[in-house]
Amino acid sequence: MDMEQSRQKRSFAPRALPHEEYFAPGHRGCQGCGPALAFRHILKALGPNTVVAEATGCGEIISSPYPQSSWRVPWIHTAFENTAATAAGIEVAYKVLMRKGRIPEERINVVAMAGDGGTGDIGLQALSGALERGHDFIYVCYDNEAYMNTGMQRSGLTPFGAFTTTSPAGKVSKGQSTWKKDVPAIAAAHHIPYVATACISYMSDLYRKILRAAEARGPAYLHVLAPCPTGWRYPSEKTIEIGRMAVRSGVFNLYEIVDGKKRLTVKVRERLPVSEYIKAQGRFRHLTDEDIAYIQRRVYEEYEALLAEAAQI
Amino acid sequence: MIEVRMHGRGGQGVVASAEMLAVSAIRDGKYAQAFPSFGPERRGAPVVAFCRVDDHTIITREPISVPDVVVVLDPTVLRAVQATAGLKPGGKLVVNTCLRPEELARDLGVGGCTVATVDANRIALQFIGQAITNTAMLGALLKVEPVASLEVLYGLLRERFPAVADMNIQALQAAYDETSVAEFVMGDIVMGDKRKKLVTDLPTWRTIDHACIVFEPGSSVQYYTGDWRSMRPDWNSEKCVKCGKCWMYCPEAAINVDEHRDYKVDYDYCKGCGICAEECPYGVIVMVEECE
Repeated sequence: MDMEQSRQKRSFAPRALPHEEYFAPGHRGCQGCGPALAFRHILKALGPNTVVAEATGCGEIISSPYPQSSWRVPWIHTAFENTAATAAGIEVAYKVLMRKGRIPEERINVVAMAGDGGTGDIGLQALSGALERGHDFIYVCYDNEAYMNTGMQRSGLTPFGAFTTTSPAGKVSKGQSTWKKDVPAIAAAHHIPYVATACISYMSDLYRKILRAAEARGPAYLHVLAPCPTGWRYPSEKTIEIGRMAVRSGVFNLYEIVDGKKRLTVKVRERLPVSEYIKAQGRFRHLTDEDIAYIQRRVYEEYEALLAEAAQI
Repeated sequence: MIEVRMHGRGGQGVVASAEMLAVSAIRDGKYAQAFPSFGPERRGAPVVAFCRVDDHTIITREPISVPDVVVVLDPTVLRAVQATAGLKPGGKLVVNTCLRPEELARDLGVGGCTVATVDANRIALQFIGQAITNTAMLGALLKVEPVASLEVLYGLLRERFPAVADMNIQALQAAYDETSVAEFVMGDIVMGDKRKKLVTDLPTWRTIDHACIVFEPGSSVQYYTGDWRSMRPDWNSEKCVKCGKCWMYCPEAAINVDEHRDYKVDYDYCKGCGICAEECPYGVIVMVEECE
């Protein structure tokens, strides 16, 4: 166990988390669904004064099969490409209603939620627009690294080498040919008050970041890694462990950018070899040792660059 | 025309087996079609697949609501859906279960049909190494209703899945040999639990509300995902230190805290993913087979 984990363990008691459930059971997520766990805790942290606009994607189909809904807060389904725009509209509407005295002045958390495809590919321009206009809302990207609800098609955030149905592994193709798109950096480039990456396996870190995002006056962007047993091809009980391995191997780094200042929130002392993370998942099964060495090299370089950047400030 | 409806769970090969059956029948010189029906759910959720075989062109494309044969690939799916719904009098019910046909018929309260059972889970584990029961259940189906010939199906398996064909053929043959069949002349086919609905019973476009608005927050609690489970978390409360990790990491919110701060699983919703057992630092939770 590394330092950060032991420190987390001392200061964080799971049973002290809010006991109200705003994401009801009976949702249709796969066994061991990472995104479902993310929604459950995001809503716990934000509480009942929350409105959610959610894009098409896994999160939408598992939580709202007509005539039922898992949401115990106001929730609207929007198209892939306009989640942030919908949330922006909700935020402005509340602002106007409060100004005109139609509803009492209070803090309402407006949340836009979308998967990695809905954020990094299809919904990117709406996200950019809403961030640039400075709406007071939280954008949550739950990242399961492909279009999982339609049966695993690659997105811009699918990691290098991963098998999906549209980045197949075979004689010619080695799975995803491009590196994972750095959407948090794109969000940070809008100079918004708060940008953070989080992972469901690091719950205290996730809670702290959700609360900071809610406190921020202006747009906040939260990128939550949510492992997907069906698409990543690992046994359903390993969801938390896979998320932990992603962070400990440096494949997915947990940091926050507050007013332009970047800070690593989980520093890993002894990094796992990337191969351990990769070999735990069926979607990387076809990769050779050279491929893994390449990924290891690049992950290492990125992590070192991140450390250097975080140290400068 | 013979109409076969197959019930199973996502990931068990229900859709593939219906298709293989249809392709085999076509190669036998018959006319056939196969198609599935499932909701947005993926692994573990109930899935229905349909297969029609006839000597003439088949015009209808509708889901099969009055089947001649019902095949159940997973014993636990019987609790989740009305598998026997619409089964024709004198029809055939083929179930993967460790029970004898007489015991199953008594448990389900069915009569007026033929019941065939085979322990396909054991056969699949023995020959394939995983509880993927689709090929074994095809063997059981072909024993009671020879919709396609075994040789053609074997050929198809070798062609489609060269790496795993042999073990699947062994499983299929073993299930074919071991299936026990009994005919129950007396009584009626029961429709099953009224609370559970077939996938095809969803509201139609005429009956849905405008804009599909759902007026009841959190109404998904009406849907019991506990039916998806094949492994069940078992608690040894004496060793529990009440740290709450199982509760925190449960993606279903299916672990509740009672007034004594004890953690209890709500088996109505637990899908049996096993995260609680994996993450419990003190080994309080173990996963056991659902039927035990």
